[in-house]
Amino acid sequence: MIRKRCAIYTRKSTQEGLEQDFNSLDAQHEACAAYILSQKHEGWTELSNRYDDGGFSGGSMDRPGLTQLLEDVRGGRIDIIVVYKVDRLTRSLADFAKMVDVFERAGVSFVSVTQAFNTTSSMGRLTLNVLLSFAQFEREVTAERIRDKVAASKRKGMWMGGSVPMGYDVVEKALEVNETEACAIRMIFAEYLTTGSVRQLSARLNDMGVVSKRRTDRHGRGSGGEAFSRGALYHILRNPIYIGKTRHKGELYDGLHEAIIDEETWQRVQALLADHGGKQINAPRRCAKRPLDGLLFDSMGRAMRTTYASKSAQREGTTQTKRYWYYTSKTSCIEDRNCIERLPAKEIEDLALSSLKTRFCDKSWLADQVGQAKECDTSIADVVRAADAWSAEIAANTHGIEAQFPRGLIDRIDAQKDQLHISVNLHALPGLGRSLETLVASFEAPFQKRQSGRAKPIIIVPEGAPQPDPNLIALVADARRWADELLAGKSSSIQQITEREGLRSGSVSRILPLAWLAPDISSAILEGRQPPHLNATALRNLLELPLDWNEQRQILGFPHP
Amino acid sequence: MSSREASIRLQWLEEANAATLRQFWAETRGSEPPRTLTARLMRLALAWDVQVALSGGETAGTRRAWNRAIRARTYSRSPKNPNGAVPRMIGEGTRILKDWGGTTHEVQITENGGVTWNGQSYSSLSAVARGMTGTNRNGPRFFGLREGGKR
Repeated sequence: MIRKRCAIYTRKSTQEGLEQDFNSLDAQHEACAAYILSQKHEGWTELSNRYDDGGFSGGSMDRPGLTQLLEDVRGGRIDIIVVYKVDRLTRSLADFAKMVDVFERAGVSFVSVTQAFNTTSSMGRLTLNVLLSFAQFEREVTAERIRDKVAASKRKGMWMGGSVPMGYDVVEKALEVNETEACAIRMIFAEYLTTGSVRQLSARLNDMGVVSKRRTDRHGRGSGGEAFSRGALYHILRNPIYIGKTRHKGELYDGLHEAIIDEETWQRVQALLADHGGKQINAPRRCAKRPLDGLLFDSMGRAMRTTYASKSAQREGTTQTKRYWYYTSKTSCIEDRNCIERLPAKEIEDLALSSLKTRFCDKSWLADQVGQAKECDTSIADVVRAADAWSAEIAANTHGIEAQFPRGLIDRIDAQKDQLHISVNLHALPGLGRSLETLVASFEAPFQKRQSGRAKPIIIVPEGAPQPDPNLIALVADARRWADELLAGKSSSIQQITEREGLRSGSVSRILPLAWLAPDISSAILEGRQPPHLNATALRNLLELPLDWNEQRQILGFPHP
Repeated sequence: MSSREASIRLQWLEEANAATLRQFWAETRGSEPPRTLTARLMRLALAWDVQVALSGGETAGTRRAWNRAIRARTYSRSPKNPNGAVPRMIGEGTRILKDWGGTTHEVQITENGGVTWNGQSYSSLSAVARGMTGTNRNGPRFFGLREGGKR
């Protein structure tokens, strides 16, 4: 007897009743399990895996249990699928056809416990199709009924669920004003009218600590309580629920809930929104690619991409941005970052262009290149003529840099240490009837790569030069910082600083006096000219710093100025 | 203010109590002292004022250098370097070797923060950097004495 592995699939479209100990899914499962048991003599055994979809509609295939089931079917882990009724599997005829296809390919049959049919005969398949047509019909009628009910309720002004808008709470399926959130909503509308910009409004709300509504979804996950995004603010500013209306398919109806915003504010906000937001930006986006982008390769064979740095400069009273263009090695991993090569874009382009020009004037070189190429039907004269025409055009320089490098002319440029290795495709010269084959010629152009300024300079400190003590400087710097904070009122108390810095109590008050070291002592510490015995520990353990600078010098071992 | 006067003031500060110090602070500095300051801290701050009037205070350069040290300490705290970075101070006689434009340039610090490069003297590292590269740039940063903001 062949063992048949049976999988049970159960589904229920609503969440209702799923929390019960023995729910509809369990009932379906039990019926199926009993059926499998009755077929024990045929070798049917129940699989331990359960394929349950609670709260998923039969109109869609997007169900976790079903997905898992189909996956296991494809993986050949199932022989028979047992369902309570066919409509548990699907209510869509199209989806059912797809599923049957999958089942057939995997050699899986399926059984409905309460509906006896046999899909091996034509009559059985007809029955099944009729059954499913009704299942689909039932689903569509239900959907229509629910849509009509929602539309009717909305017309009456009832809130029909969804995420609860900020400013309201839901009490017995109706919206009730939540006074604290309503305040925030009123403030959002008022602030928008004063700032006139959602971007600034978002910043203002962030400063004031106004956050979005806290929500908990049906899985118990919390969200909200965060700063508003601009999208969320637009949504709030445009939500007619705040003037006591409900919206259905673009139509507004008087709602049963209380308004938070008055009609006049609302109208002004809508006018401002229409005037300010959501317009198309007129400035066209410019492509930030230079002609050699992707064609240039660095000394390690990595492609180089266009990058730029901007620097703003004041010129005749106006601020202008100067853009410096580069080709930069594209790295595949972080380790490469240290050895990035960067070449000034304009210089490389000019060099490539000028060397190309000299090469193209060299007719014997051109002839050699064409002659060397095997099975080439382009005549030497054509190439020379095209090259001449190109050179003339470049000399006239009527077009931008893009036109100077015709598409496909440069095949590849390798920027080596002291030369550029340039490969060109002569067939890409304008005027040569666009041959599909390439005619590659390569040559070298000498070039001096400039040292990048990133190399770390070497610093040679003379012998016996003062050595600044970083710990000592850090100690005095802390004292000065804390004193500044206290005097400027940025920190309210020594206690607060101690807690913020995570220090032991008393440390801050012990270190603070160092903010009032005599100026010559503090600058000597900064420059490392302190007496050899003076270190951070010694200074920290100083019992009491004298008021008199002379006494300070004496006690710490500094010379009298 | 003579040094005798100053020492009398210091003596008076030493003996004054907290209430008197608060009042004196408000009179001389024109603002209430922070409530958290102890008498000792107030004495130190007020004594500082007295002695600044007598013999001068900090130079702007020193104050800037301290502010840099404070910034370096507050913003560059990383787990690797818990003490925070403190900018390097460079004294007379220090030589810096900098690769630029394919050659190595040697720059020497002379007294009072002056710099010599190629046998010429410059007033600052920034001036040398300008001469070397042709653009205005932060000399101490260019010569590796200070970390840049972005890396």
